[in-house]
Amino acid sequence: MGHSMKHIQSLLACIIILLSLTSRAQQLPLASEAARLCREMQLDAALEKSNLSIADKTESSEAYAWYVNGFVLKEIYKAREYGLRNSTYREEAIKSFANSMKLKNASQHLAMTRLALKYLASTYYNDALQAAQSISGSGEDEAQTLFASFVKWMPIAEPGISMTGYEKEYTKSIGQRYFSLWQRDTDSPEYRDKATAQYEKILKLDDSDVDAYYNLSVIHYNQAVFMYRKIDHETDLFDMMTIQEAASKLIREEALPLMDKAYELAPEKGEVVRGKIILHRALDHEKDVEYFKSEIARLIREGKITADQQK
Amino acid sequence: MDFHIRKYGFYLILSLAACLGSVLACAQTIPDDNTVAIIRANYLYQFANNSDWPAENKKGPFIVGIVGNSDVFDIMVAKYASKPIGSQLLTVIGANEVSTAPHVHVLFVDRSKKADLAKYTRDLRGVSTLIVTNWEGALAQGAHINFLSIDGSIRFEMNKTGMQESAVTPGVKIVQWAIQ
Repeated sequence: MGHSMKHIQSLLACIIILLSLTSRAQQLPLASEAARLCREMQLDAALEKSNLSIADKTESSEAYAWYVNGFVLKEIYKAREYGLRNSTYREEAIKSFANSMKLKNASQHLAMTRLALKYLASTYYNDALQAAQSISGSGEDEAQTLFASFVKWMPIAEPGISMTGYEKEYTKSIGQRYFSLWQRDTDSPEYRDKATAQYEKILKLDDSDVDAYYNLSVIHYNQAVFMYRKIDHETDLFDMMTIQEAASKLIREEALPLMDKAYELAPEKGEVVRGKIILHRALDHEKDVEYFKSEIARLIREGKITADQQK
Repeated sequence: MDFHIRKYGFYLILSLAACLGSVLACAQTIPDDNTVAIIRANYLYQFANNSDWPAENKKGPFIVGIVGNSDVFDIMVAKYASKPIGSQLLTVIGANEVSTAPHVHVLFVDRSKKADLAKYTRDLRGVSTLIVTNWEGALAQGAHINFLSIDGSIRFEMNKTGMQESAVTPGVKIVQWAIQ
């Protein structure tokens, strides 16, 4: 009996909400019409109607009018400007959603508004990652601007969300880009230093980030390898020994301690164990090389890494 | 009012997939260069270029034999083959060609073929072949020059008497940089 009562109460509550929404829809004819047009994918007509709605004195004070406006703009962004990093539709959509959250009756659309905001914020994040991969000599302003938009809107879309993971991921992406720019011009330390700075920044955010230790180690090791690669028949004996001294010091004092740290944090990660093999081989540590080779064999045997990770 | 709900799931998945892709690609590639082999190969070239052989060995190709270390062999071939040593051109040969070569000027025996050193020192007795190795105690076993690893750097020690017996004269630079 009690159960039936609760059921009836729920039903009544739903009916009341529906009635209130219907009545509001009747009070907001422009917004309701825009929503209908949008549902039918008549986006230009929907936008026109929605713009009239948010310009209307009565409708513009209602959250619903701005919510519909944000939604229409978001649909246009998806249909016409998805992937366009400087999309104005996206920017305007976000502003409308944000406005909607501040207005009368906002709570009735809050869940969906946040979901829409989360979607748009995540597109900023994706675009920031994409922009990071096309950073050139002109700098990282575009990627930073996009990421700043993500950082601004994501916590509004999802209050209490931790941004550290995203910040690390984005910073890694920039570090990776600078690393590959350095690989193209190994004589220029500018990109190497910028890549290093990114990974150091990650360690400030999280001093247990295995990838950051690993990547920093690889940067130092690469620096040494590029020095070794220059040795040829024109290299004087003294010069060769000087190069070797500097390069081995870099591996011994910079690359290896960082790889050790990565290993300490992730002793069963294939690429880290392989990194240990390569660094110890570079220092002619025969016993260590044999030990870590046997570790790789064990990890494969135990199914913890696949055979292709040992290469 | 919920005219949009179904679409979100799809786009959020796309967005997360893009993020995941970037996570998987975050580790840099570590180069596979064998840097110790680069150094050893260069040393072999320096020994060849900065030592003197008897006049009868200054004709034909200047032959460097590599036994038991494919990385050193590959680097020697890539970087030093066909380079002039005096009036001779450097030729690199592998272990299976050593016994048939007319004269091997420099022979590198890697520690992986440690057991073969006795045979080479016996076969090359009285021949002007500079025998180079890379393990502790190799000079006492008949090697002329032996690589050592000191704090990760490759250096070398010499058996001057052995070199004199083989009539190979090390140049000043070689003597100067050998560990005494």
